[in-house]
Amino acid sequence: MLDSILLIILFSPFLGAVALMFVPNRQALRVRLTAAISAGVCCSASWIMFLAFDPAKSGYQFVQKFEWSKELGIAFYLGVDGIGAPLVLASGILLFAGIFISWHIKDRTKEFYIFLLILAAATIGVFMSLDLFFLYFFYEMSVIPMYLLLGVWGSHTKKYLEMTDPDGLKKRDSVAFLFNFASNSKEYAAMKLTLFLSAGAVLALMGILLIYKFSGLNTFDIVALKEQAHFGQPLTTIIWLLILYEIFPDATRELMPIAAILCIFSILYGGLVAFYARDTKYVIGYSSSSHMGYVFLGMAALDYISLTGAVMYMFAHAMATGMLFAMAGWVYDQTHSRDIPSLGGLVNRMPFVSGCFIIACMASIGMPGTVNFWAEVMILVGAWGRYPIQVLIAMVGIVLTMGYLFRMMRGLFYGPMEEQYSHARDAVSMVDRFPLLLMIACSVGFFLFPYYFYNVVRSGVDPLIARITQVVPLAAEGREASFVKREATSLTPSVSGNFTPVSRFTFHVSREKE
Amino acid sequence: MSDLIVILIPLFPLLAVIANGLLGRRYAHDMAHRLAWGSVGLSFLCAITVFVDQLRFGVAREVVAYSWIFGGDLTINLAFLIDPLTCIMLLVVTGVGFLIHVYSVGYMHGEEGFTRFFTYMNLFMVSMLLLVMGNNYVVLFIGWEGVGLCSYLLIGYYYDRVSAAKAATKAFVVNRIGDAGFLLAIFLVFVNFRTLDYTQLFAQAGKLSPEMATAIALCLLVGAVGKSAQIPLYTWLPDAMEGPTPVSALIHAATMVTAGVYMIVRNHVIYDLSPVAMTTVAVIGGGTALFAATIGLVQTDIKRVLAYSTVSQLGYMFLGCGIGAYTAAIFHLMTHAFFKALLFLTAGSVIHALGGEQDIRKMGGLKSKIPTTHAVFFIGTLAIAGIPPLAGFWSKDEIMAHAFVHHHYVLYAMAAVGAFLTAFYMFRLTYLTFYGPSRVAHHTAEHIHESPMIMLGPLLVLAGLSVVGGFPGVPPESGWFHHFLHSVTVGTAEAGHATLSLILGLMGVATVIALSGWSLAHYLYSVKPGTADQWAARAPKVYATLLNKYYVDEFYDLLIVEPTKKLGKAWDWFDQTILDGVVRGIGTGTHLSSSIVVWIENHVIYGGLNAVGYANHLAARTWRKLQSGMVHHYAALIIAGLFILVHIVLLLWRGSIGLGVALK
Repeated sequence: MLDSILLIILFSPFLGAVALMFVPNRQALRVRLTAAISAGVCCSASWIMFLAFDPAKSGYQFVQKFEWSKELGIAFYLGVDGIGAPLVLASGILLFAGIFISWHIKDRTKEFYIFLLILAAATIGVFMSLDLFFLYFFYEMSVIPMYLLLGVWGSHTKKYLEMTDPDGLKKRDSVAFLFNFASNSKEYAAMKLTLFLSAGAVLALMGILLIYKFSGLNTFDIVALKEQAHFGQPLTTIIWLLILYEIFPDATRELMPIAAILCIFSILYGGLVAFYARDTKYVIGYSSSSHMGYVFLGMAALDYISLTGAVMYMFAHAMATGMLFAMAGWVYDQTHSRDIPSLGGLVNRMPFVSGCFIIACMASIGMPGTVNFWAEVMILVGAWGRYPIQVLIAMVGIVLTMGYLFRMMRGLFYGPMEEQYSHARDAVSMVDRFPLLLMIACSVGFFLFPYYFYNVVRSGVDPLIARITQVVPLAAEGREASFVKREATSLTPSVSGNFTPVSRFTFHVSREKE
Repeated sequence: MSDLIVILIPLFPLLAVIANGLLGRRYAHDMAHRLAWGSVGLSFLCAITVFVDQLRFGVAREVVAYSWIFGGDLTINLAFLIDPLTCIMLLVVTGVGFLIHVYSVGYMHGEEGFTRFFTYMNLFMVSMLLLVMGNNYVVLFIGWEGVGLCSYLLIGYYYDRVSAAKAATKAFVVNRIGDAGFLLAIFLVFVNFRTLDYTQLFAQAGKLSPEMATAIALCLLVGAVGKSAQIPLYTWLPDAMEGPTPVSALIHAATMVTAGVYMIVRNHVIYDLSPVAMTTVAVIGGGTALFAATIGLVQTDIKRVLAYSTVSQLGYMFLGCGIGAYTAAIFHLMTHAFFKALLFLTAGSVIHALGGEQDIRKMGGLKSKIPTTHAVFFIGTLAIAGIPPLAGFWSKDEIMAHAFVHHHYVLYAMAAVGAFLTAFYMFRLTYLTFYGPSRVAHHTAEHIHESPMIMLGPLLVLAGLSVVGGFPGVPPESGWFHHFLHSVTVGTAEAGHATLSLILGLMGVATVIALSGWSLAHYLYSVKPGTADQWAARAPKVYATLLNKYYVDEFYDLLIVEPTKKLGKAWDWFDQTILDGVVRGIGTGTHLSSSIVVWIENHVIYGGLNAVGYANHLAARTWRKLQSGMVHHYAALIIAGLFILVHIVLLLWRGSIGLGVALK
């Protein structure tokens, strides 16, 4: 049961989507319940997975492997480590919450839920795939339902399509590139090794790809997030980066200073545009891109604490931004307006939503009381040693974030109320309140008890950073110390000197021959 | 057992928050406020127990509630430090907090959102208690942010007022600027010591280099300046008066705004290492004390006068910290909590009596109508003005004397002028409010009434404290208060070298300053009312500058807020035009190139094909005439054909001779 928990998490939304095909669209309640049940199974299974995760072990857990094509070396290979587990959990929670947030969709309800479930399953698949083929498969798979969800139920469709397509195209190229390296076996671990040996040779090319990823996040994915309320597209992109961490420690180490500069651009750029934006979803969308800058800062610093903070931040961000989007959507449903200056005084009509909104804003700026606080502090504390200037600018960014979020909150909820919005309703029923309460509970709960979460993430982060920086963490003493040290020492000769990439490459090859 | 009591202090209000927050709508208002003040009262009792323990054993101890994060190189505990400084702060926070909670029951009676108010107030108490009790910077910071949040929520309590919403946002944003500095200080501490616990940190603070100590101290100062409303981040506090009056009393006078002072005293080990930081603190404090006092001279809103006076008094505390008089600063913090809470609550009582009127130009002559309120307000005024032997005299005089004795004469002069101004504007406020002819609007005047006992009770207690609150610090520099705090502020240049005559002389000077301020106010507003207006008319520019608070708000708007908006606008333009332009450009490029291809296809490829087709067509049109279907045409053609054939045969036959020869 526990061994196959990842299969349950992954396939329950798929099965739900299949089951939905046999439910007539007229029976809206049955459609919604079917979706809710399958999402509920997924959510609770991801909780079980998260709680059963053993932070004392490093490496992948709950591993499932099915040979798919031996000739091509493709296997259906699932597993999570300390970094994947919280992201799977976040996806499970957001799926379950998203089902209830979109409870009132009346237009083609069945199709909407089918696509939503497929999207969620694909996202989860990305987070738990250990085979690059399936990783890519799930990644592409998530694009199709997203395309349809946005195209049919979204607004401003054209702009999004304009931007996603080149994005997807480039990603396809990058994966094809990776594939060619491992033509003998696409199974993940073997590939990791092969790619690691070839890392020196492809440093330059990887650099281009990395820069693309970073700039890509700045420009392309903003819109994806802006338009899609329920799932944060940037999260998926980040998993790609983590994979790069896994595969190319050398490249990572050498390229991260560039990333550290780009992340500052992301923080300030998103923040300033959000400061100016008038549309609620734009404000949240740009704020999200600004927040991703913090995640990159945490990753770029290559520090145990900051990378742990970055992973926690992804989870925390998913909760906070999910809430913000949900509530912006609620306000839009009630008032048919996303224009901040024209709204106001809604606290009269919707005390519950405005209360949650305050909490979400607080979470978003990393106030104590939400898990975002730990994440943000850890990122900044960890990054301080390496990039003090970036941290300083990031702190200016915090003030900026606060400025625009609170301006939005004031614009929506405070002040005198326009007559035309007097019919607006609060979220009264349990169905409407549940998703918000769920996300708040997760955010506050992990603030109060971050201990377990922290250790889970650390178990994934420690070997990663140890491999990249060759510095064994203090925390690893007594836990998995042998693993980390063995790995760290075995790598030391290859990188301790000032080898050129080529010489490093030949070194590995020669050792391989031995 | 005693550990449990320490943990219970913040736990009681927290439980009340949870109960009121989740179930507040289910039960009656009575239950909500009983829970609120009851929980704070219980915390107060626990604080007294802790205080008595401290008196008996006199040992600082750490109480770990639980381990928050523990992972090798990063350990963060929810830990409390119980030492004399914490005990004083605990008594002030829970004691004054309890009185204000009780007062609020009467003041907020019948207001909308009664339960919400008490939930926020209790949440504030929890945060403030974490702030003063924490044994590491993280707990301090959590409390620090928590009080800021509650301040935000309570300033914006009347959410339908645009001004309240704006003031709340302003307060929070300005505070957050300070918090960024504070956070930076925490990073510096962590990078240098790899720990955030006070006890471990202060034990090894000596290994800091002077530069690093200065950096940490200045970053901490940024946080303190934001929270305690000092120059240049003081502008939020006067606006914060949009909140209900008990909030102003509790948060913006007695407790939260003093957090900066508490933090500096708590970290005095670091400050002592850095003369630069100390001087900065002293200059900011002295400057603020004087600067805010001048603005307070001409304000006409009763709460705003008190707000500027708070800023000014906090300046005295900073001044005390900056010249190393930590005990005096904490002493002034305590007495200020008494008399300023008293003044705010009394102002609330006046506003309550007048049905919401806050403009002192529309008051006057209230002495006979609300005598008890007048009496306690007068006591508060005497205390803040520094008339002996009330509380404010002892603490303020001690700071000033310390400055004089340690040869900070400029700072002393600033403080002395500030003290004169303080006495003046406080008595001006008293005269305009309670004396002279009544300027109250007619319909309001009929309803003037003394506040109910539930509001007067706390006022009387606070008045009593304002009278006797200074005695723990008597005699100056060696009173009970100083001995009690000695273990915390040890190592500082506390012991004065002053002779008794110098101390008595300085006391005399301070008294004269206070009395002369009173006399001036008496002359201007009681003996010859109208003189003040003449003076204002004689120097209109000075008056306008003071009335408009030196235009600092406008200046900040121009310097920071507007450029940020413009930058945002510029980036937005960049986003819409350049980045979208690139995308659009790619689209347009594709479109253009495809249209070229289409043109080539249309004109070159299809053109060629068409040309061939047309040639065919032309040929066909000509040649089809051959096939006319008429027999004589065909006969003519056959004959013509035969003719040609014969010719060809003949030609070939002739030619075949040659061929035949060849074949032969």
